[in-house]
Amino acid sequence: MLLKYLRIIGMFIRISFINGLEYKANFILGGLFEFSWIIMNIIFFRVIYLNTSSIAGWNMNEVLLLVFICGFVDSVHSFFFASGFISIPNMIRDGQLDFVLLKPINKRFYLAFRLTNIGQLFNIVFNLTMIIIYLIKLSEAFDFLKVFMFFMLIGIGILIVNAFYFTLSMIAFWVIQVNAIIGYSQELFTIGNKPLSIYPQVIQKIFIYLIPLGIAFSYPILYYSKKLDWIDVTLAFIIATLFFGFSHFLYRKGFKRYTSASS
Amino acid sequence: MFKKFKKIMSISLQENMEYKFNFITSLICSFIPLAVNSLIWFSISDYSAEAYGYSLNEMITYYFVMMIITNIVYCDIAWRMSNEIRYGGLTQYLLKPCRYINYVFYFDLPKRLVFVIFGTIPILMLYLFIHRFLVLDINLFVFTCFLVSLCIGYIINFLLYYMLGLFSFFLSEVGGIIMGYTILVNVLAGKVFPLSLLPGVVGEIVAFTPFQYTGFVSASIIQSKYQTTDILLTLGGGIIWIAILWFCCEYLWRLGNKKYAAFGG
Amino acid sequence: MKAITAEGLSKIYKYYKKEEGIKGSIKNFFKREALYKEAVKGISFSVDAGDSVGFIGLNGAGKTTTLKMLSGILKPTSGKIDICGYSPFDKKNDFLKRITMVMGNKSQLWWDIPAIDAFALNKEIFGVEDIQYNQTLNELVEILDVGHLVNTQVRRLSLGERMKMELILALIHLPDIIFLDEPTIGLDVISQYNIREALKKYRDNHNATIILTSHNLDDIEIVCDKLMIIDDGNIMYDGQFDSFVQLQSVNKIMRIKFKKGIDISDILKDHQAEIISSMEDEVNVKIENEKVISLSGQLMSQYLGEIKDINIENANLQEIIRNLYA
Repeated sequence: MLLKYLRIIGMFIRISFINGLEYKANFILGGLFEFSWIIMNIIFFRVIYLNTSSIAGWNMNEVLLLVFICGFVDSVHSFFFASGFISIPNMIRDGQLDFVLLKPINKRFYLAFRLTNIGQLFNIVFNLTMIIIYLIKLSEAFDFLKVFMFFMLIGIGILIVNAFYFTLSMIAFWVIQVNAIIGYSQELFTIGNKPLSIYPQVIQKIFIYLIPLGIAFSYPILYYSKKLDWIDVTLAFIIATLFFGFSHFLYRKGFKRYTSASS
Repeated sequence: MFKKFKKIMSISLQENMEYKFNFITSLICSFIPLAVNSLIWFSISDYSAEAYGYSLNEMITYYFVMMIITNIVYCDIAWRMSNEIRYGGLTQYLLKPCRYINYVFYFDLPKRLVFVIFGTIPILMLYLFIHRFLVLDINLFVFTCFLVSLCIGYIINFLLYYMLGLFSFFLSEVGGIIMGYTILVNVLAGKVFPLSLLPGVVGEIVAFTPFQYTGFVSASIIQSKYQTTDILLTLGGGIIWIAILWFCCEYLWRLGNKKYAAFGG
Repeated sequence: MKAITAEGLSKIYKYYKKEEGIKGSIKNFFKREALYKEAVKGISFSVDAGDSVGFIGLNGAGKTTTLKMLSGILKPTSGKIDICGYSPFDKKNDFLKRITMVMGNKSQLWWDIPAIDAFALNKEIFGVEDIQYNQTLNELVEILDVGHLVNTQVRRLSLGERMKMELILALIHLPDIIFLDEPTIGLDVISQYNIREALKKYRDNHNATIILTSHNLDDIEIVCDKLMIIDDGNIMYDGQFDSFVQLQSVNKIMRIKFKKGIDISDILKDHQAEIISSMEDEVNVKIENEKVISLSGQLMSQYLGEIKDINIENANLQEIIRNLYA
């Protein structure tokens, strides 16, 4: 059963690859801009750190590691899910969703993995490499458990981002024009991908308990720099699960409401 | 002739009202970078105004002013254009006695007006909230130049996105490019940080691009970061960029039309 | 054996009134008026396994809504549907593997990849065994004669070719219940013919049940043996196709070919035959069913040597339907 789903993901990737060969310009440019975003963020923080040594208690390596974690989570999401989710509002609007309903396969799975984006492969590899490099810069000694937990936290970061974007596209069942909402979501990421500690407590709590982007991005580093205890970490896992569950609840509700475009 | 444009604009206005969620959220959208970036600067231990070229309050003012500017100058025509070109909707415009670029322009213009009209009050409210943190010293000359720079900025932004839209003639999935471009421009326009913070060579290269006109130039004018002569020189540069971009658009349009005519049923 | 049973099926849509002009848009900003449309009004019908049912009605009569309820896409506002023991809206995987839906104005195909890749994807999704897949693929490709096109990107195909691929994609998992919503819309005559023949062959080979809606009555005439007419959410006829034509056609068309020079207009007048068109050696008339035999008889006895050919046809289906709505 799992094999079947893995095979289907493989086919989606293959389709994306064929597409990529066909539209080479898009394939190359597709990842280039996310890459530039990372570079610019690096420049921004490097420029700041030219004249200081700490932003809210984070040193330069920690902040740069944050940039790469965001880049990694973003590129994994973009590789597998982003295009698929963005197409959902259109599918709702023009009734293409009907065909999805008729497939004997988990609908969420299909919608999530349907449009993979091969162009992001470079970004995934680049960001992962930089994460490892900066992790080494921040470490005194190699502690397997610590590193393992670090990557687990990144893993739930991917889960949270997935649930986040999926929730957004589910809103398309109720609201006609979601483009603005997606634009809005980019701003939430603007908040989420900064060091959590710069925010007043109220905001921090919101970005941990309500929109757990703080967990997704800052927690791996806070954990690694020993600024979190095991209660925080456990809570993080629970919150991530609840958040994902919420997105699933919305998904069920949305489909119930779905009335396909007439004729 | 103008009646035609009036009708186009009125339809555009109606569309804008329909999507109420759209307008409210896009406004809230723009308050956020202001807050976040200010918080970053506030969180810097031992902040030095000489090192950064802006006092803390000036820095906050920078983001406040940038927020207003980027909203006025904002342009999202590329998506619609891409769809019209890719899926044949363009044909109907080619048959109309109105140049496509004009149609797109007059369709987008009212959206700017919507912001100016409906955005004034929320922004005024925001200003009242945070004016203690801001420092703005405006005289008539500076303000006039500011307005001129806004016009230049909008036209340049429009032409840049129009060019992107035209790429749909030659590439099939411009979506990724449009999104990536928008992020890139965010940075190059000065939305993320004042472009004057860029060290040496990088800073000079960036000053040569048209993107700074869609934000940084206007902000610098109103924050009196330019000498008088520099303002005029910069504005002149902006006009040159408009001409360059306009020619690029024309060229791409001709090329694209040839290709478009070649598509089958 | 009943494949499909529907009881008291109805569907009510809710939508919002949009007022004109800028003032209207501002009003809508604050308060919207909800309106309801009853698209399907408590209809009941059944379909036997292996039947091909033509489902016709004017635009907005409720055809597509009914089809979507039958396939499980839409939830009925009230009523029950049973398809081979399943309730469609549950969308159980076993149910979904047995049905398929083809929509003439919407495509399931991926635009930029060859159709064969889309088939392979469906194979995986529907869990089709390799042997069966190859068999079905070969069968369909041969019937539709598209072997040389399966590796071409869909966007390079003509509309007719795309529709053929659409059909293969829909049938690749060997469904036994097929819903088609205007499958031949926009197609040229030859493509229409190909699609119809493919449907018939598939149905005969696999004993499939077909429900087909179309504005092109040739589709119905050629593919279907049963007919259901829906008008404004209500079923107006449900039964054999031939019976319907018999019931409704009061008239027949007679084409009479004769040697030049003879004049049969008197005889035609006697039988109240209405002349549709006439030439030197041929005349087409519309005449009541009962009078056909007697007219033919009289022509044959009076003009035996001069009549070259008499052709008797049923009145045109289009006309029948139009009369029905009148």
